[in-house]
Amino acid sequence: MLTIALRGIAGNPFRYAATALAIVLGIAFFTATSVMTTSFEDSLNDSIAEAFVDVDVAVRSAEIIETPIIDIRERIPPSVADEIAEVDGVAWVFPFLAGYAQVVAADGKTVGGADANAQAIAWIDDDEVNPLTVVAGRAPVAPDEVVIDVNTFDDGGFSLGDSVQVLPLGPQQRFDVVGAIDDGGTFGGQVLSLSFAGAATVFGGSEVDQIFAGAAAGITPDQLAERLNLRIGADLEAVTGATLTDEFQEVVGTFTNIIEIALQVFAGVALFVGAFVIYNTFTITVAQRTREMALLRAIGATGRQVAVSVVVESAAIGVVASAVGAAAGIGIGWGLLQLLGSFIGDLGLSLSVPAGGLIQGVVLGTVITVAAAYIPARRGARVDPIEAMRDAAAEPGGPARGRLYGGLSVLAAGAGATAWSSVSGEERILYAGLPLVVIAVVLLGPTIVRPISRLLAAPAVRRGSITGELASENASRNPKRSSTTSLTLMIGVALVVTATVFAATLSELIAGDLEEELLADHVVTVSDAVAGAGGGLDPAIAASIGGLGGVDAAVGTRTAFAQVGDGFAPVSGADTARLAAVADLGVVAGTVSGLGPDEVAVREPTARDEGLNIGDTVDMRFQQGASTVTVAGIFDGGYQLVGEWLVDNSSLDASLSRSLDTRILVSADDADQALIASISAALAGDPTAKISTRQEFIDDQAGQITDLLTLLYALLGMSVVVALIGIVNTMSLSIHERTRELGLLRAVGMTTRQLRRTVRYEAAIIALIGTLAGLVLGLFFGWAAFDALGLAYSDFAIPWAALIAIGAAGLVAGLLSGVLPARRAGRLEVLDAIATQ
Amino acid sequence: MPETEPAPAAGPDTGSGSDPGVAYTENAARHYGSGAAEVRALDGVDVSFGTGEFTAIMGPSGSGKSTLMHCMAGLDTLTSGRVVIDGEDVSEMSDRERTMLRRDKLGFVFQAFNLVPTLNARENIVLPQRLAGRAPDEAWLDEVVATVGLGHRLDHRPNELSGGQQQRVAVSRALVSKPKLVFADEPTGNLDSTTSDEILTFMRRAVDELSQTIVMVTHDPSAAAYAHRVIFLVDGKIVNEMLDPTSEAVLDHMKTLGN
Ligand SMILES: Nc1ncnc2c1ncn2[C@@H]1O[C@H](COP(=O)(O)OP(=O)(O)O)[C@@H](O)[C@H]1O
Ligand SMILES: [Mg+2]
Repeated sequence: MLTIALRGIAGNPFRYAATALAIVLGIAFFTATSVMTTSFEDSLNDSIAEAFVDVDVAVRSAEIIETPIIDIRERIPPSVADEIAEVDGVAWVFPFLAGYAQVVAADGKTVGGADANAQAIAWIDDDEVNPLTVVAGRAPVAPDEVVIDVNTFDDGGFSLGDSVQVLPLGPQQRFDVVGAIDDGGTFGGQVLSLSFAGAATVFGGSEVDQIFAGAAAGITPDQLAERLNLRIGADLEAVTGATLTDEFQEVVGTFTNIIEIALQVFAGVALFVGAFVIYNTFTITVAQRTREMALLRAIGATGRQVAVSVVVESAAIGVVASAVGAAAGIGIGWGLLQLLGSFIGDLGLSLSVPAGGLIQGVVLGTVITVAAAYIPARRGARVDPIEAMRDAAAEPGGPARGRLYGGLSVLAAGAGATAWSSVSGEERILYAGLPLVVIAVVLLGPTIVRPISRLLAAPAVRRGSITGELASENASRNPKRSSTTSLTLMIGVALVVTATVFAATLSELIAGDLEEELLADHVVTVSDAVAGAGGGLDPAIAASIGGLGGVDAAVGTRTAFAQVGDGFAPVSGADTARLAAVADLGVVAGTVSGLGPDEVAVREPTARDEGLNIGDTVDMRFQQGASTVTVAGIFDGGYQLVGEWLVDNSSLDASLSRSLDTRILVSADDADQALIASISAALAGDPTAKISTRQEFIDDQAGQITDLLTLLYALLGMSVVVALIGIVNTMSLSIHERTRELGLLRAVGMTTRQLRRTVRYEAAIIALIGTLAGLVLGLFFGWAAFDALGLAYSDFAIPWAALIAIGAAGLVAGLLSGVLPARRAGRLEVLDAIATQ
Repeated sequence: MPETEPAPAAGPDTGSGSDPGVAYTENAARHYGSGAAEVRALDGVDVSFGTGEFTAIMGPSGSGKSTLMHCMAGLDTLTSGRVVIDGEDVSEMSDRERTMLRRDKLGFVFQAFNLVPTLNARENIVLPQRLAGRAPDEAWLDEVVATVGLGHRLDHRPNELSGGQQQRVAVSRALVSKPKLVFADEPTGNLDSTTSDEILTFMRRAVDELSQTIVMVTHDPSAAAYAHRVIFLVDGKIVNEMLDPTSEAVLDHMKTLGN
């Protein structure tokens, strides 16, 4: 039986090409994900280990602000270094100080665009410990000297001796470029280094992140750490370099794990769709081989043996296709790694191939193939030997009534549960409604194929097109097959539509909120990359814009991370005395204007969750300072502008060595061109700043979700491609099955062109059914997700243009997926076809 | 509207004399394979089919009957020689022209699998015209259908029809576009004798009353007896011809061929 199984593949390799391709793509995606994240993690881990290899012990604050990704540690005074240096067994100490800074090129712009990742560290005057090495010129010594990483140095066209501006400091403060450095890929992106005093100027304070210490001969890092821990205050801790490395690597691990899982969800969807394609292939081939199997049964093979032969066949295909997919995945993973590298900056990424990931991929692909082929295999086992004597297999009848009624009842139950949940506000019922609706669609699929394909072909048929009519009849002659084929496409389309609807709704919500709450006429912003790196605009800029004639108010806003109560939260700072002129936060209680240094305003949902009322106190701890603040106001709007917690800028100034504005909201006569020119002039000192009109800003904020949407489209694209391969596959198998019929059509006068058109139409009909079902289901999913977030129904936005575009794309994709099978049908030799006995 | 009444009952033109006939071949040869494995399916055939003539082609299995038919219908191409249909040389036609020829000037009846399973009887009958984008001649359609006796089954799909009914649909399809020539390859090969007789009677009526030209391959001497003439093929060559055959005469002749 094994030989029969393998001969079955060898004799008809084309039949399994699509199955194999579906698995190859899914597994390639899966493996590429694993290869990319592993390589990323390994490369980062290597450079982390490299960076700390000569650090024996680090002394740092024991106080941290826990964030979901990387904890923020409080800073410590540099004087701690002197204390430590006196401890017996300490060979050397160097304070480590890092933060946001960025060099401005001669053309007045930053290097690498608005989204460049930029950092600076204080120079460590020890070649062994310092992760940076000088490749040209020399190290920074004086407070006004700077060295630039070699890539930025070259890209920005700098030369030794240049006098440059370093952001966030203004253009008056100049630094001399004294060297170019290689950062060994530790940081990625732009890296500057300054003398300790220079760094203190740039960062607005000399408090340090940590102090690195080296152990004298004869003492191990562990011993030194232990010794130091006994000597230093309780608010400090000493850890070994190895611990630092472990901690960093753990952060990297957590981060890459999140990415890997997120990507694998999409690979999983593609594989799920692939499973349908495999199921379909084997269902069709088992049906086509009924006679052959019956013959085997008639000459004495047991049903089990017949089933096993199909399973063996699927396993062989699964193993080979998965192995090819895994191999392709290594290549794709490497490509993605390069792409990632080009976004993040030179991180010295190198390829590592995870053996575990490859094995997982091969096993997964094989298991999915075999599992998907199992039901058809069982059907093969039930073939009656008498079938061998029968003539051609009977045309499968239409779907059973039971399926229609069953499907309709499940649909009714699902709709009922959904409606009930919408009315009663019980989310859980919606979760029940959702799977019910999906099950109903799967059940009803075969029953709706015929009516829908007739409907879709109706315009063509009304024109008297015989090709349209034949295509529609062909699409519905085996409704289960067509429905399984189109449902695979439905899955991808439904997810695409869900994402589209959800994004449209969110972006309308954002725009709607801002329309209401943003009173400013202009908004000055810095790029997300700059804000994310802790950069921003010097508060003096907001002040100077505020001083311009015709400006009513210029309010700088900023964000800092803090421990609020027991949790982590971003806290916004604003010039609250003037905030009311530029933003309407929708005050519910108390006031948000002119908050004192010990006061905070909180957004209503958070206030409710935390049980806070006016006059209650909250503990807030920033990187450099903690305080207990009193709730002075509660507001319910302004999420896009100030988030959940709002304090006055003066509070942040007191708790951070330097706090920079990430936005300036300007209220002024918006038609005054001269004024806009003056504002731009005030911003000239900082090339990261950008001025937008109110409308531009709103559109920008609302449009940001689109970037995410594009990424989602790309990730879901694989599932759609696999589904389209499924259509090509079903069509090819069907054509093979209908060889004689096609020969007849050609014999009685169908031109090859008409034949090809018939095949393309049929593929398009199947694709359209899948697309339409996906559109409906996706809208439903989107609405369900929307409902689960508890948003008002009136905010539900249906992006009609996008949905129509998706529908049109489905039609075109369907026509395209019919091209190959159509060509195959067109090449059919009429004589061979009618001579086939 | 062209003739809907039967053509005058003139005797069939047997292709002799000056009229070359609706279709004829000149030294038609079709070889398959090459070298030692070469098969001469047709080995120099000269034959002509006159308007309104019903010709039966007989011969042992493998003698080239189907090949002759396929080559004449442009389904297969000659190795050498010529096929002319309605004055046009088939061997010089492109694939598309041959398709048009089949669609517009020829009708086909095969032994089995004559019908498109997704179309009902009526749709199958008018299929060639639909493919040509022409509206079928309804009056003629009604007449053909009535003659074949299919009236009440027109809305049925092939799998709901008996073998005999399916062949009637096939014959109707071959006739309804009033082709110059109908080819039938063992049209009654799968049918019992009663049903065969019905189909053959109908085909003969089409010839007698409608001046239809039919070329039919058959194994069955009693089927051949419906024809005006029988041509005997052996090893790709015409070995004999018999006019106004009876089944006994055909049977006797076949015995002499050593079949
Ligand atoms: N496509 C082909 N390739 C090779 N040989 C063929 C092919 N078609 C027919 N033949 C051979 O040509 C000869 C005539 O075949 P055919 O016309 O089908 O005979 P008939 O219809 O009289 O039984 C046979 O020997 C057959 O094997
Ligand atoms: Mg034959």
